[in-house]
Amino acid sequence: MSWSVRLSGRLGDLDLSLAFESDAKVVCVVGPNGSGKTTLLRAIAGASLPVEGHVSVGERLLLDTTRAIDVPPEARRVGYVPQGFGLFPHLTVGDNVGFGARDDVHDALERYDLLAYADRPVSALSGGERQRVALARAVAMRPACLLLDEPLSALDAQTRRTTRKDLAAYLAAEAAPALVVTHDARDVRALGAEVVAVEGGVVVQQGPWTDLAEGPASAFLAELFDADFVASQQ
Amino acid sequence: MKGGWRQAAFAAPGFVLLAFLAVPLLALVVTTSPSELASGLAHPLVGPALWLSVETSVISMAIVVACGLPLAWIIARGQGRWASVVETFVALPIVIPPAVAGIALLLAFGRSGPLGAAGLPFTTAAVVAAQVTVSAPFFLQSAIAGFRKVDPDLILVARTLGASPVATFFRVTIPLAWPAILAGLGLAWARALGEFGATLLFAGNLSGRTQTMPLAIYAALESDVRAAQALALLLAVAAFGLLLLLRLIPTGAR
Repeated sequence: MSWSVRLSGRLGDLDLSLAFESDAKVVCVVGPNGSGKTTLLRAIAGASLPVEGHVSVGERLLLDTTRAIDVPPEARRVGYVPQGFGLFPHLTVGDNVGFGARDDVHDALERYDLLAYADRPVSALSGGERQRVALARAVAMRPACLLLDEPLSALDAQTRRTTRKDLAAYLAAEAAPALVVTHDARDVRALGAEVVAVEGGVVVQQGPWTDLAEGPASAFLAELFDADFVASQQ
Repeated sequence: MKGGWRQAAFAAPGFVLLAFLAVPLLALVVTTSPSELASGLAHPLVGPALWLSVETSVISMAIVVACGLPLAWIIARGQGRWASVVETFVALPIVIPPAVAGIALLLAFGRSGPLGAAGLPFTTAAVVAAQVTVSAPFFLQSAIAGFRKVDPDLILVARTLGASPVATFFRVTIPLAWPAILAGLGLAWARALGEFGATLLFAGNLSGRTQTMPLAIYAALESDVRAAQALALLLAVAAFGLLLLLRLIPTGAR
């Protein structure tokens, strides 16, 4: 099983009670704002949150509160890319990618078409370039999985289309499975992903995106895929 | 025309205050001459006081930074009631009169006090203790605010990239909070250099041992006003230099 997640806890207004298992290499997490998507990623990354449960990715057990197992973030080997990419503003592109790199930094920069930017500060980059830096940095530490929080939402519409294609190609090329939070059905389609739909802290539906598009279990999902259908007809 | 008159009437008190602030500082400069300044600086009180002020304030700042950074971080990350209680407590010396701090130090470290065994009163170490007490809050407040502004996601990213909590603190948190840390250091340093009341009560006014520049000004007033003025000018220039440095610090890396 690539992903096995069972988390519960009370976080502010949200009663989290999330559980899903999946063998898919790329899983998209969709849901309205405040439904617990970001919390899910942060919990898998190892943020100290008041949650209980069990998380394993592939062979790696990351959390099991019944056995008092809580692997610290630095030992989890998760490639976490938060919303807005989380680049270190005080470091250059090369130093960002090299921060925790196990792979050769030069290779990582080359693979993500960033060699020309190595010595630039990250503030000088466009949105699409920043996203590539975040991805290159995450994969250069040879993660057991990737966690991407809305990797395309910070981009303008035109960049988003090309970057979406690139992202799909990058994720297909990487060995690590990926969990991608999005609220755009076009991302789901482009990544060819399995979908876990989260609302109000619980999983309301799970399956291949085509199944969810045909029989959405909630108004939110119906609208998500309906808007996508309309957009694809235009 | 009438509007201009009203504006002038509104602004007038502000200009009175501005003049009130500026005139004494100008007097400090214009009432002396280079030769008077030179003879003032040659006064036997000046050299030891200058050296002692530099020495004690550098030691004080080293202590404030070394102990203040971790404390500021803990307070900044702390949640709930205790964190805000501690934060209020460490800000207390800002509003407490220095004379009160001096008496409190004397009662704590005096011969019959709970920490009397340290033998601190009326030593150079007492000067440092007084400076740390009055200056640390300025550093802490700024550093806490700086740490609070660091995006917690960046810290989590650094951890997932394999950095331990301590490595993350030095490689990510401190560089990102650096402008605030430096600003706090500048304020604290200025406050330590100017420390008078607590030092006088707790450390005394012994030339070469506890007589820093502000205390030497006080002592010189009785013998040689020119020496007092020279010391005052030195302190004013140092303070102005610190202020200028603070203004030059870039306010954010992003």
